[in-house]
Amino acid sequence: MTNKRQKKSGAGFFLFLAVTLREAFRAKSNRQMSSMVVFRQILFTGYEALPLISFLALAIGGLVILQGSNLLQDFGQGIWVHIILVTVVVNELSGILTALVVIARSGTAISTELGNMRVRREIDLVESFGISPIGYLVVSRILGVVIATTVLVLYFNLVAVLGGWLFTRMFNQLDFRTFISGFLSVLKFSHVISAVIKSICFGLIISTVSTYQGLSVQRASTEVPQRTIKAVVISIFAVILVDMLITWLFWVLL
Amino acid sequence: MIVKFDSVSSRAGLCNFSLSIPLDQVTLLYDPSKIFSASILRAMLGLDEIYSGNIYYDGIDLDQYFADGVQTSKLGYVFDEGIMLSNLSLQENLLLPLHWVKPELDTAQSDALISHWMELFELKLDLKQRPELCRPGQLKLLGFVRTLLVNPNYLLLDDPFYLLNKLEREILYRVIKQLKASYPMLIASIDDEFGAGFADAIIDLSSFQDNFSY
Repeated sequence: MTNKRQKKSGAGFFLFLAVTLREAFRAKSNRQMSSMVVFRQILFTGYEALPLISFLALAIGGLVILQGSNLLQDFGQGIWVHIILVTVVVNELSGILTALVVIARSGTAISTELGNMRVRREIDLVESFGISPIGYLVVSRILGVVIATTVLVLYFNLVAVLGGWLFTRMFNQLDFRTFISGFLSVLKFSHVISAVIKSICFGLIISTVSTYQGLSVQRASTEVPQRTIKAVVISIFAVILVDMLITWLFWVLL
Repeated sequence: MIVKFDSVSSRAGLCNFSLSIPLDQVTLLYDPSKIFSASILRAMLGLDEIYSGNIYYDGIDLDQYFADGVQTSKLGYVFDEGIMLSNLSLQENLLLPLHWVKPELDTAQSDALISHWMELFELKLDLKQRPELCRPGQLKLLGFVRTLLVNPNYLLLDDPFYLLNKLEREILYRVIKQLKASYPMLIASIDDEFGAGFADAIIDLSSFQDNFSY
């Protein structure tokens, strides 16, 4: 006889990933996946993070323009400011900074919540109903985090561009339409696709690592902060590595 | 139905444990230590990590027996503590297994079922509140309500009177006496006096102490 939990502990993360993928792909017919959990996750990861993301995006967009303007003063600003905005903000910072915010808020929250659920035997309770904890608790959270992260990255880019324009106005009376048309002339479709792909990957990484670490708690409440720290560290490493990989792939292919 | 433990060793402490337990009656697992019997119940539900050996339900392997994923309608397990999902309201907690087993039930039918069992257990609670606002005894009785809502084939009760005050114990005793006629039960208990007056059969786990590592 092979026990479900025995299988899980034996092969670790990759088995967890395989089970999660299986549960996710049958999500349509999966009564275990809770739309309420998905909705609450989007609300927490996405909506409640908007003030912080807005502040960061405005500041970053503005600072990039500020630094760029200083550098390019002698050469005339022209198109180079927009190129810097697209290259630095849209291509890199929006994804990375949003991912860091999602790790700090949602990754830690998910890991802690699931860890505490394990300690309080709530996971056992779900299993005793015959409901898969991965289908009910993990897939729903992964879906929520991926949707929220993708929307947040797009939102970050929009606000950063707005921040860039606001700071540009400090140096010259550039109207918004001119600024945006200059920005759009530099922005390529591949930049948007790259940002979207990165955000989906970041959302997947953060949610999968956090749920796995949370469910890896055994019995002691002291394990919860340890697992949460592990989730944060692994998520940061993985996000940066995947970011480099995707950037390299786009650089090679396009 | 007979559940058979065949040389089972588990993470929770069972060591080469073999026993046949009849489920079609009221059977009491008398265990002064409490944790031995709890390990048996957990292993029966597939909640424990089994290192070796097998558990059979009328000759059917445990994994196969629960392969359809609706074990709560087969074995209704009431935990020793009133465990509830803390991120859900009491009502959402009660409805979770009910909607899983009987998705066809509409809101009115579900509410009627909940009201019936709440009345039987004399529970007057605002079901919109979160579990942390309730007393342990109330949560424990709600655990009974949640299990009985799905009308399981067998009841597995882990130390049913644990955490209850005197009044709640009396209510629970009255209810399970009523349920005795319609539900076969397997009860893990540290109270042999209760078992002597209530159960059809008592299995004294004291004689299996070599098969459990504390």
